[in-house]
Amino acid sequence: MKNNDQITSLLLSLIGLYVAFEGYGLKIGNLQHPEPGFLILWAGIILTLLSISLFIKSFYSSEGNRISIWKGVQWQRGFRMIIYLIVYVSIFQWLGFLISTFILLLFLFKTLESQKWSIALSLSAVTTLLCYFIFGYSLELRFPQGILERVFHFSL
Amino acid sequence: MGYWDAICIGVTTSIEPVNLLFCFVGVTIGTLIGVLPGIGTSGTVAILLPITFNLSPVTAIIMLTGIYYGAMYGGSITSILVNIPGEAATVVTCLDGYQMARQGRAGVALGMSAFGSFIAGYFGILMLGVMAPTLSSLAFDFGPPEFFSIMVLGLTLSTYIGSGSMLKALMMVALGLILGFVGQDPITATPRLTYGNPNLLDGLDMVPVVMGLFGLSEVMLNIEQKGDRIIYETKLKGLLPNLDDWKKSLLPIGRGSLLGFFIGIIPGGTAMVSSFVSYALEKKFSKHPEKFGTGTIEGVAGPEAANNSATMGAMIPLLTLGVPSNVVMALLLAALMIHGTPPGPMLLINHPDLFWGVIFSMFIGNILLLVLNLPLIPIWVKLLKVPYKILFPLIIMFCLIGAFSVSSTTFGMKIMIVFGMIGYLMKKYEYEGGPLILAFILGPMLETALRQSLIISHGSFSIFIHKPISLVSLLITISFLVFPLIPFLKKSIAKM
Repeated sequence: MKNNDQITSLLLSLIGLYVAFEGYGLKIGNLQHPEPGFLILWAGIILTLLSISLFIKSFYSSEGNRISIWKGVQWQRGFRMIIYLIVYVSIFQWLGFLISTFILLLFLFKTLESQKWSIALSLSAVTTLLCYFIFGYSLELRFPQGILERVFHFSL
Repeated sequence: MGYWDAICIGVTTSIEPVNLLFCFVGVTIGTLIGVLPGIGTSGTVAILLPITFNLSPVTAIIMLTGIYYGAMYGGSITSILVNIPGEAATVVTCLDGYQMARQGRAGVALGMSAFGSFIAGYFGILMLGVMAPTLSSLAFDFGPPEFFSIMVLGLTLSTYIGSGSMLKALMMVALGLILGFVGQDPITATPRLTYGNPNLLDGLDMVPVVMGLFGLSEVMLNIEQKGDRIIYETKLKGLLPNLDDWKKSLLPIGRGSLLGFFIGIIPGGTAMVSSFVSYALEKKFSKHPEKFGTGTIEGVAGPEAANNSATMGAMIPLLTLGVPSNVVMALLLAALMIHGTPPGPMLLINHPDLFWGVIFSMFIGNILLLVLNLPLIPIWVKLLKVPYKILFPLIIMFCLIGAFSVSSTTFGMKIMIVFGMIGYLMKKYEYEGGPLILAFILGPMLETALRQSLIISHGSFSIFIHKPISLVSLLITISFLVFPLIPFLKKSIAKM
């Protein structure tokens, strides 16, 4: 816990300093006429000071280092999921909602959860169609058609 | 407008078929969300917020508030049967509720939880109906200095009564304020922290930020855990508590209702806080405090009443002042703004149908919840058995679609993913998301109020002291900031 607090407080103090610097770069004005950078500067300063306080406090903390927060958990799954989502967002407009969503769900069901192919494929298809029906058809959200429209001249 | 006119408007609005339907939809979704651990009320309201754009303002708010108080009912089911809180506000119910289930009294625990929530809900709605109009008229005396001070008090309270470190919570408030300042300056339109990205000119959108911080991060935390949850297999016999159970529970329900309502009013006071305080209070009042934690019905009845009453109390600062007291209220604020019905003292005058319609729909909603929660408990239990590995992709899809629907571009999705990672790391390193989101939402309002106050007073901070409401709010704020330092100062003096 001590190490965690030291690392995070240092990081946040750097963020605070950067924000304060950005705020100073905008006009700060004065008390009679605060300008755009006024509160940003002060928010950055406050964040920096609080972070430094936490950093100092962590040295006096009687808590030792507990078991690592990364041990005993499959943290890689969460990060893999994020990578899948980043790829999904990248292909979303180009491939269109239906195809990109189906692919994402297939990856989530198959590679993250090791479902059988038949289950993964059917769950992905059903979920994709259900989402399209609820949001695209019933609630009339305009999803990108993507490749279906461009190549196959097909639109839902 | 007299109370009789208000009742007429409220009843006629709430019983319109479309409003009845969406009240039912809202409380059902709320119960479902409460039952299924993995996505909280904030995430759900954020996901469904864009869907309400096609609805009328009254219908939208009726549905969204239904989700909020419905989740309190549903969360207790999981707490009692699985010992996992379905909602943060039902954490305390695990302590005695699960023990009652182990003793074969799950039905009684579930029944008393539902009845206690029902009674407290009605109490809260009555108080809301009586107090809100009075506070609305008082709110006309509020100017920028008062709003600024109340918001500062609310942010401070959210750090003081949170469950983690106050210092870390204050850091999250500062960070939240910074995030709230992204976009164009409200007075000069100067871009701030936008880095030339036109998507950021209007600031960070709240919906993807909340979905990421509370929805996506929660999924990441859940999928890294090994093993499935164990549901306590028990016959749900006898959902109706007996006379002895009622004798033990009536006073805790009464105390919980009163306490929860007033905690809910305080900016920063949440249903979770009210349930913890109620539990502590019941333990103090009990003749056998040592039995708490072993399956006492008072330990279920009081906190369940408190958390439901708090949801009603939380509506007061939102509807009368336009100041949200927690994350869900902030999302309701966004919904009201988007629908062109800004909350505050003018809401009651300009939109009495919305104001009273929502209040009266809560009467109906609480009856629906009692009906949904008691006879349908076996169905909710079956839902609990759906493996999380089937549920979480659905949750992800709803989050992604919700983020997309805000602006019909992928920018919202990108924001959601970024804040999902931030939220996940925050939870791992024990930084609370609540103070950050509250500061993020209140930040722009706070800045506008501060700058207006300084312009009015020609740069003098004495304006905050000369206004009585502002002065009292600031004094309370200072005392909450100084109070935690007292033990530290005492220790230092003792060492010297």
